[in-house]
Amino acid sequence: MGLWSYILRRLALMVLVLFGVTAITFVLTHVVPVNPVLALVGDRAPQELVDKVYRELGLDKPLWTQYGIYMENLLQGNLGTSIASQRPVAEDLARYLPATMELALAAMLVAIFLGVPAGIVSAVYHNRWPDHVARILALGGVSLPVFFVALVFLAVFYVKLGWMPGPGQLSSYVVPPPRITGMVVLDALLTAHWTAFWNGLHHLIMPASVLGWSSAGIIARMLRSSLLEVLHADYVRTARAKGLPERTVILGHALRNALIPTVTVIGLAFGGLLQGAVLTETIFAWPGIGRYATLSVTQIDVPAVLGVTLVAALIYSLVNLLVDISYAYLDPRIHYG
Amino acid sequence: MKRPKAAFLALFAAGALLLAACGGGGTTPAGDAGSPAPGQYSRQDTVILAGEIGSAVTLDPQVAYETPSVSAATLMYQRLVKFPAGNTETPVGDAAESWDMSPDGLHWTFHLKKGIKFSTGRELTADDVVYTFVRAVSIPNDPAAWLVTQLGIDDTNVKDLVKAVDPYTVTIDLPEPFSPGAFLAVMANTVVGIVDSQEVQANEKDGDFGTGWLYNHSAGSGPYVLKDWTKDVQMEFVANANYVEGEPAIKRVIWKHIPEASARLDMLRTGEADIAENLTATQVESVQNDPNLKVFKAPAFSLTYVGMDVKNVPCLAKAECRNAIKYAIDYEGIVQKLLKGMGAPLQVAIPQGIFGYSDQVYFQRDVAKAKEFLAQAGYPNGFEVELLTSNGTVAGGIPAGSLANVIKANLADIGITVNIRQLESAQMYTEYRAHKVQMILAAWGMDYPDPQSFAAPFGDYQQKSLIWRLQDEDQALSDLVQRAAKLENTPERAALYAQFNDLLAETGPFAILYQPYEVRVYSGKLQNFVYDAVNGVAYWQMKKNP
Amino acid sequence: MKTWRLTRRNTLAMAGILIISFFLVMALVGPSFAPYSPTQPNLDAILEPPSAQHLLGTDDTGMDILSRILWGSRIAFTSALTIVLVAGGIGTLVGLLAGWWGGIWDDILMRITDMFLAFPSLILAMAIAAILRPSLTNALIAISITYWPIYARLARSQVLSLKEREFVEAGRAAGQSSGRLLLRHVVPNALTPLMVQATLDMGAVLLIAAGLSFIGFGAQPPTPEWGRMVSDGRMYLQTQWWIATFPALAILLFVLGFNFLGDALRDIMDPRSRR
Repeated sequence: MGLWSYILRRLALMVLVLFGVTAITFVLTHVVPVNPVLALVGDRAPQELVDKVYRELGLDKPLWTQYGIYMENLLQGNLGTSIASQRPVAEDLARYLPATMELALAAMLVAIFLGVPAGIVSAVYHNRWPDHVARILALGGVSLPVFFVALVFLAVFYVKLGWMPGPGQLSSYVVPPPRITGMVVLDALLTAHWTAFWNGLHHLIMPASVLGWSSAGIIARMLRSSLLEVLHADYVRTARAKGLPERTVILGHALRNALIPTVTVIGLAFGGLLQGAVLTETIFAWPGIGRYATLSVTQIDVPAVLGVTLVAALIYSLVNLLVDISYAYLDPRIHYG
Repeated sequence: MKRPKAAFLALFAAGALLLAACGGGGTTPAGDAGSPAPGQYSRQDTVILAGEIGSAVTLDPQVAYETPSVSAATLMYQRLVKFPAGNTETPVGDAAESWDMSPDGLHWTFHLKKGIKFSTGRELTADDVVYTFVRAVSIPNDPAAWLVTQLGIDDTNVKDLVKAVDPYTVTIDLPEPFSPGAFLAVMANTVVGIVDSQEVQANEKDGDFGTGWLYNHSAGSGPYVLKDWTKDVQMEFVANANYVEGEPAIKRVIWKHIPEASARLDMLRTGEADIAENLTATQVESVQNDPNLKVFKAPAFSLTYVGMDVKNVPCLAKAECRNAIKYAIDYEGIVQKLLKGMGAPLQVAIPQGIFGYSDQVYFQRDVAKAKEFLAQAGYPNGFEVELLTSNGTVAGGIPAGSLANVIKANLADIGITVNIRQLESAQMYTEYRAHKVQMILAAWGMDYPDPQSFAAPFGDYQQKSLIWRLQDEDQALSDLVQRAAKLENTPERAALYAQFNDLLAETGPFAILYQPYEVRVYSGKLQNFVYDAVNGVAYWQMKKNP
Repeated sequence: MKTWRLTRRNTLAMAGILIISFFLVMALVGPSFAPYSPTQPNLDAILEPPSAQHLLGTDDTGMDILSRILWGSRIAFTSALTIVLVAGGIGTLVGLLAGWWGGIWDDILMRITDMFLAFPSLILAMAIAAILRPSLTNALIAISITYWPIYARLARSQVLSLKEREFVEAGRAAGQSSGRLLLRHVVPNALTPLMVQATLDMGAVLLIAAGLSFIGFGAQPPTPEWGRMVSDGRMYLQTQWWIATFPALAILLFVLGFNFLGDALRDIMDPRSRR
């Protein structure tokens, strides 16, 4: 099978998966004992108003009818209107998603930046003290609740040392750049708003580090074990026998091949990052989708919950498709099937 | 072997970018040292609040109902009358110069001040007031509308009842008697915050009364004008040069949404914010010795209570059983030790500062007496019950779980086994409204400063509020509340509320725990800092030292 | 014996075993050494810093942190084991069957697995916890439901590679029944990597439980669950650091311990990485 037909097959399966995800979400949101109308009219509204709005939103219709209506709208590209904010869900997602993507991508960089060197050191100095130190450092982030690390970082780097700016994406005095992608730093770069660019970047460092650290351990572990594996492979032995410097052997020959399984883990870690974003965003007052998701679920804002799960599932599936393609791309032995 | 190299390069590029990011960050000043762009307000002119404003749904004054949106509407819109700080009984004119009431209390006439200008430059006239009332009762699914509709004014009769006699005179006719105090309190509410009718009508779309536009624009005559609102990030207000009481000295007010209490305190400590709200009791205690920070404390018009459902739990159906619980709770310990002074003792449903309040202490922790009551109820060995509460902190700044755990331990001493269940508030209120609660730990805050705003939910089951949710259809309480509702603040009304307080303590389904304080911690640079529970922080009279 | 020698040479593996043994002993006998009740508030001893009376200080209702951490070790072990066993059990079963049966069954089971993998797990866990009403047990159920697909994938890939191996082929040629082959030859061989994964996850699931507590769907007060203690204590981080920090340290050690052990197991099981 060629690359394109493989991608097509995967995309078809993805649609199937997304379909299933909406169905599961739909059932779940209707089983949770929360009246979504309260998010709109408030707790003190008279019962008559609550009931009236409930009917107007079509929440009294049978589940299947509601699902049918939702799917019909969805197929026309309409994600519906959030019950709580009374705004189109698509608009809400467009507002919150870029902030999370910006955070998650930056965190991914941090994770790779920390995890890859740690993995290499660990493998090269297998079971000697640099291995221990690298692993403890890399695993430290995975081993503490991310919200705790976030608060400690704020207390130390923002309040005590004053090296880092506080919560939020930009300081109050900075004029936000015009909106293109919705990612503040990227937009500032694209429109050459340098104050906003540096300020936004500065604000991004701490949340991205907290979140990225929590994924670095996974990357370090995978790289370590796959490096250990290839370091004993014949071609590495040959390279050594040829008298190549150890540095060249490791970085030039072994690392390339060891990176292949690591890429898969990076894909999985990205999924984990999106989860961790929920907690990080709350502490750093980051206007991302994680907080939108939590709020929507707690209020059972059905269209919003559906929108969030759909987008999250889509991102997850796409990232994994990308990972699988790059996997095949990196390893010529793999055939699409 | 060419391809993996490319991937490897990409990886290094990524690392390099990150390095650049770290290096670049170092050159940018942290905090607020940056100078503003030309035409911008300086930090000196600006007051920044580290707050919790995420729950705001819309900034349309007629629809705003959540705390942050109501506070925002207070900054942007004038009402006919308003309450001076610390006074909830005698309102003063806001847009109105004076007003008269007919002897039967059904006919009200408001005389408007002349020369009030909206931020748009138009003069405020009676037509704007009438339009505001039409909006208040006509916008569909408006959570705040009940405040006006309870007066008997609705979308079918509003045009007959609220009329502009001339540009400076508005008359309001009530179809049925309503307590004059409560009526004026509603007139002071932002639900009737006066909007510029022409500006709003010009922005109307598909007969939406301009709600889509007022969602994130302002068209009022209050001290501030909305400049920008990024939901879940910040609200930015600038001074209204046309404000009838003079343009405020603080030219710009920014409210930042910072969901985590610790982060709010962090921002205050570094000077990035000037005011922080909703801090925990311990955090407030910790800043009391900070020379750069000041603490403003004012009693909140709210109360924290334990509600007992009288049908779902057999024992709680008996007044003796409910009294056992009321005697078992350690009120003093909760107020003194847990709240650390962030609350005051309160055992009636009407808090201090509101007409009808009483400082009567009906219950003090008395384990022997509580056990006696429990035995009288027929449960000498206690029973098992679920105590519902919300996540996060309760009023006064203590974690709801901690307060619930103290109550659990108090009740364990008389043999009652309490299982705590913390729910998200949406789920808790759904169950509460559906009569599925056994015991609940919650708070009630007022809608407008009149005893009715407390007595009705706590005492009149026909209002289908708190006491109804607990399934207690107490006719005697209901009668008292309804009789008092129609009266002015006379000794007769006071006597009725005294009776109501006694009866509620004796038989009611509530153990009232305390009245919390509202606390704002603010920078020592701020002068004339005033906060009160009705108007919020008075930014318009504040000044800032360099 | 050889395994043991290998382990002893590995410092971090030994550290992992020591840490886990330490917590195991704590869980078994620690509570009987707890100086105070882990759930009884004491308003006369609120927010006390570490002292001779309260070695690790007290929290906002005067509960002794040390006693709560000691009792919490039991909860940590039982929670982690429950999730790993339930999620691991379900996942392994699904993966084994999908891999062994192949064909349409493989497709159906793996698409269901994909759906659960793609579903944002925190949202799923929140929804499940809300339906069942928040409690520790329900949090464990919710986490298990979101966690099994990882094991399903792993088990399936193991079965697929084992299916083609000589000993399975030989067994099939000798006419052994399918179920017997699966149980006798495939399961034992597939189990090793699954167990490594489970060891690593023992710590990870504690952090998920902590995250659920943070958003309000975890253990209920006054349960001395470490994640909940950190989450509740975070409001006191600037003023009474000990409330959140000590349980956070307990979590850190617990997770590190299982990670070290899991990594060591992987090193040992994988002969190619031995030196």
